[in-house]
Amino acid sequence: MKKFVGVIMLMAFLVMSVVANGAPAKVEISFLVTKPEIVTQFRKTFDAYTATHPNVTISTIPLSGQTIYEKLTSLYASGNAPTITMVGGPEFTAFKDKFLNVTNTKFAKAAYDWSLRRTTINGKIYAVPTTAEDIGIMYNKTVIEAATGHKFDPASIKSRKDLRELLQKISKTKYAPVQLTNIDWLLGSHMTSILYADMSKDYDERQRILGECAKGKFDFMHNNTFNGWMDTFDLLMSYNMHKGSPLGNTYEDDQLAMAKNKVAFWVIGNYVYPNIIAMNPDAKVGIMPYPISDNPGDYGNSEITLTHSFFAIDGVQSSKSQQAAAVDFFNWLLTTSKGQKSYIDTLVFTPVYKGFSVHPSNPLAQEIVSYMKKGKTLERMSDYFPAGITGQFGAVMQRYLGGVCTRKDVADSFKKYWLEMSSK
Amino acid sequence: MHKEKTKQKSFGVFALFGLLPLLAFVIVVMIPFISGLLLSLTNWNGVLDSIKFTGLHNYAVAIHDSDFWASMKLTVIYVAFVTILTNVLAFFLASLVTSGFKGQNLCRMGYFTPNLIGGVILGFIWQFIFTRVFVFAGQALGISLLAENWLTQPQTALWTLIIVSVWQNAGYMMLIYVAGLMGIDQSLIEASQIDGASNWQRLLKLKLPLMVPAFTITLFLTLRRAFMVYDVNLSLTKGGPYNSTQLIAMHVYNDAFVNQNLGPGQAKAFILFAIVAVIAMLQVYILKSKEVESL
Repeated sequence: MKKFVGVIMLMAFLVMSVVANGAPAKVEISFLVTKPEIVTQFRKTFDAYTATHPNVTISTIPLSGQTIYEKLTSLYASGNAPTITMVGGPEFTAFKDKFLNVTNTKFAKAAYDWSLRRTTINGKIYAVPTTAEDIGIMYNKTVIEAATGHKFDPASIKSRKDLRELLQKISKTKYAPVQLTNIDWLLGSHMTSILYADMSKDYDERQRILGECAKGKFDFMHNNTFNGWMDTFDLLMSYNMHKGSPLGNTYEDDQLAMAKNKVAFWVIGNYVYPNIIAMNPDAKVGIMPYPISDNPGDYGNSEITLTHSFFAIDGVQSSKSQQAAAVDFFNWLLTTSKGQKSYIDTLVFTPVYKGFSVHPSNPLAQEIVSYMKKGKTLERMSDYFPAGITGQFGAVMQRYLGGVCTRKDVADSFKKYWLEMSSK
Repeated sequence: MHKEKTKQKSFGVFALFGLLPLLAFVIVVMIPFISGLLLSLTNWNGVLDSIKFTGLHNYAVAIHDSDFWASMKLTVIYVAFVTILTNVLAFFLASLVTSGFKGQNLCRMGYFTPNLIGGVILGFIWQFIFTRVFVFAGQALGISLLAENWLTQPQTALWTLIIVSVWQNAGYMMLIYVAGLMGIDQSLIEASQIDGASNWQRLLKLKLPLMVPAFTITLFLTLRRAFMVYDVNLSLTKGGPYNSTQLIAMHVYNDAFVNQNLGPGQAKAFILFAIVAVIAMLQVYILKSKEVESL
């Protein structure tokens, strides 16, 4: 027993001496990685950083199957807030008071202004974009060219009319014109995002519309954008290769069909590209806009939806030196050539930042960059939605896709859920 | 019986065998339970620094949520079918594997195996069976009931959950029934044979009454498991199609963490706890009163 007490005392003494003698320059920061599929890539990036910054250690906190909200709630409640967090729109709203003001940092200044609107409060920036992803209609060049016998340029699809004609042509061949994924996050979050972004070119006007929706006053049924968006959906549904059982196909089926050159078009985002390439390295796919009218000039017919999550630094529970280390890490990652190389090559991210000396090599990322440069991007509107509403939207759209409800039901449900979920 | 001589010594024994488990129980069950109960009476949403006491507000919100009751109704239907079907099947299997045929031990093991597979994996396996194997077989054999993917229709999707849960639980309950059947005094069976009882009579008048303790356990376990099911629900249907198979545990989780309504979500969890506790206690109380001793 005496021996045991002795060991305990010795250990306590050792711990205390380490704390007391630890050089002040040593900083340990933690990073909540909310993209479970690239935790390894993040670790490699941290290694690259710490190799030149030996006084800093970065530990990774994986999401381990929880939602971001759940994880952050427990981490903050237990006083173990991660120094750096990756969040989406709804989590940003919930935790914005906890984040560090990064307005005057070098990396925040490098981000495109429009990408910071969501995370700017009273002129102060609290989070910066992670990586650009886009949402639209994926096209398979190989299939379209084989079906039509002509070279295919996605820019030739300027309106729904053009798309309809092409779908009709392809439907007469052995290839399937379209597939629709029935997963709720695609239908309820990614697709509805297009709808609200297409409502207006003007940021303030879009915000006003969301405000009206939240009060339950927005009339979807008599709105041109809503009807145009639904008309396109109807068109896609009528050429859907899973028309017989539209809720039967799985996401994996859809990826395989696209990768194996069986289908020409698919409403999805570039985030699926790594899977497609893994199944078929020669796949020639890209993303084009989701048209909502027959008039090529209408807003939304030539724009793709740009989407990104955010990096935020904890401003309440981390020490000053931890915050400084986190800022320095992002300065390194986003503004130095070595960091940018890790960002592009290790993380395989697409920068939403100016002044990158390294450029992404994959064709989809290049496509996104060119849309960004032309300013032809739509805002990811679901970032502003109340928590949980996208699940409800998804369920309504699944019903519509399954043929158990009408367009009026969709309009009414949207109106109802906006009011219900906003008042909670 | 051996008894410690001094109070100090008997406390030592208690500390050795009882204190540690008690400590663990208090830390991982009692404290979270009580703090959860307290949190459900506040406006805390997981983020706020200042917590205000709001009384029964969260419970009022929970009770007025129609989705909560819809989910509860669905869960009751699910629980009823799972409890009945699991126990009928388990009892049948138990009778089968104690009847003395060759290879019954192998069968016993086989029936029990599904219970060793985790619910999440089980859900994925059955998802594959429902979307691929059944559909393929249905189309090949021309059975229209199977040709359609069961997971895409609300009615059939609920049945997929019931089928998988029954399949998973029946083996475990079978083991308890096997123990119950083996525990019946052989002399009673012989006596009934001499008295000329038929198999059916022997089952109803002898085996069933003597096995009430086994039923108490199995019914309690199936009820509790069915009410609290989450893993199979998540991996098999994810609450779909269009939220039509969201059982109560999933509803509570989604409301708290996806819709970010931590307070009402917590309140719902306690309402669920109360309902399950009352049902389980009633069931145990009623069956306990029916237990008989074979003397």
